[in-house]
Amino acid sequence: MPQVERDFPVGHPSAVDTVPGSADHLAWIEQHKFLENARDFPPGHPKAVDTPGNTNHIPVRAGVDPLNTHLEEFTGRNPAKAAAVAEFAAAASAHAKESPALIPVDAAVANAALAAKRAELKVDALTAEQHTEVLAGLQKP
Amino acid sequence: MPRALEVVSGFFTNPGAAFSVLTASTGTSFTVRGTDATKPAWLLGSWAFNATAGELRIRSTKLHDFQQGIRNRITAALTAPLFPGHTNASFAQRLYSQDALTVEITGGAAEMDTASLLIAYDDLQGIAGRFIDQATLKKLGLNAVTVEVTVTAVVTGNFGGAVAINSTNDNLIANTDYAILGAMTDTRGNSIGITGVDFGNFRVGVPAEPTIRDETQNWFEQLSVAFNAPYIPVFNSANKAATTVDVSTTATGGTFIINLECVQLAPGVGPGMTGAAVAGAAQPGA
Repeated sequence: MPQVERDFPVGHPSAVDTVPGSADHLAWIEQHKFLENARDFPPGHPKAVDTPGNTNHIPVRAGVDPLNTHLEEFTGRNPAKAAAVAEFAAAASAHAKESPALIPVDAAVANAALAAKRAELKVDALTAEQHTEVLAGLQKP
Repeated sequence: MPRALEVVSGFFTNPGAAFSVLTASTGTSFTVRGTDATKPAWLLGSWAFNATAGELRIRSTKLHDFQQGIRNRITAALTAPLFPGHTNASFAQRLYSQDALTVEITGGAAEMDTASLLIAYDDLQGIAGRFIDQATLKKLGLNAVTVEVTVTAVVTGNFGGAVAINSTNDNLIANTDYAILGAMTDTRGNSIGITGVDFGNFRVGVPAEPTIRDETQNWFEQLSVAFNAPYIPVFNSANKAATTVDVSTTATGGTFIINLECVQLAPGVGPGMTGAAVAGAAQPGA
């Protein structure tokens, strides 16, 4: 069957076979009213205000899937999983340690001392213990 | 210039409608550090994390007035910058050496509420933190890299759960400087803190707010642009084991996945620095 390529869609005012006032023509006009700001979207469009079941009334909030508001915001976890993660996090937080209060140091002086220690040990980076030891040396009276 | 930047945080349990003086987090204080009186300190930012809406009030006899001062509404469950805020420029409040700021909060009657101040020192002897401005970042920046860490916060309101910057992924290049542009979090809290010898053992901080990633991901870069001063912290990967990330939050605690947005810096453009390293420093519009 040969492929037929139309000049314009059925009912389009410029199509060679459109009869003004015909059902096809009127249907085309109805579908394209939105182009002239006569309506918001074509009839049947999921966002058109008169389309049954449209979702225009559903708020879109940061981090929330509008169609699955039962899921935890930002993570998308279902309630059971979210509760389990929260329980785990609470247990972990109960055992977390507060950060130590550090004694202020002059970054230039401290970095020079740390560089010297790295050179002495021939390493790229000191361990946290070695780092603390160098800083403790600087803070001795 | 011995520059320093410090985030100080505090908390109060069940403040309700009454203005309650915040308890400073361990190791921090709302008293401005002692500086040469001719060298200014600046309040660059403030923010708060309340489960219930409230007010944050910052006042001092040396500031505008000791009645209401800088008083702003805290939106419930949104750790967004209050005044001064630096998006699209701002005005930094001058602070004075050894001035004890009165920082108060109102909020829920059955919750812990928290707040933070970000204070900059133009010249704080004995600190000499390493900071650069945006022009230097654009000149020396080579590659972007994200440092991701997982922090388990404590439930006391203090900063806690400190982990080394290389605790999750140890992919920093040895003995290389990195600028920290900002940070992002997946969980709401009060503040993300980054502490290290390169900042004079001070804690620099970012609001722990997941919904304003556009503001926090380059927080320090925006500070630097808005206030026209070097406020982008730089650390050396040689100090990675002792450069730590922690969090302050309310009594809910929680686990925070933090992304630090960093840029690898060239060691210097000069003799011996040719080719890709120099070419890599070019930025759009440069």
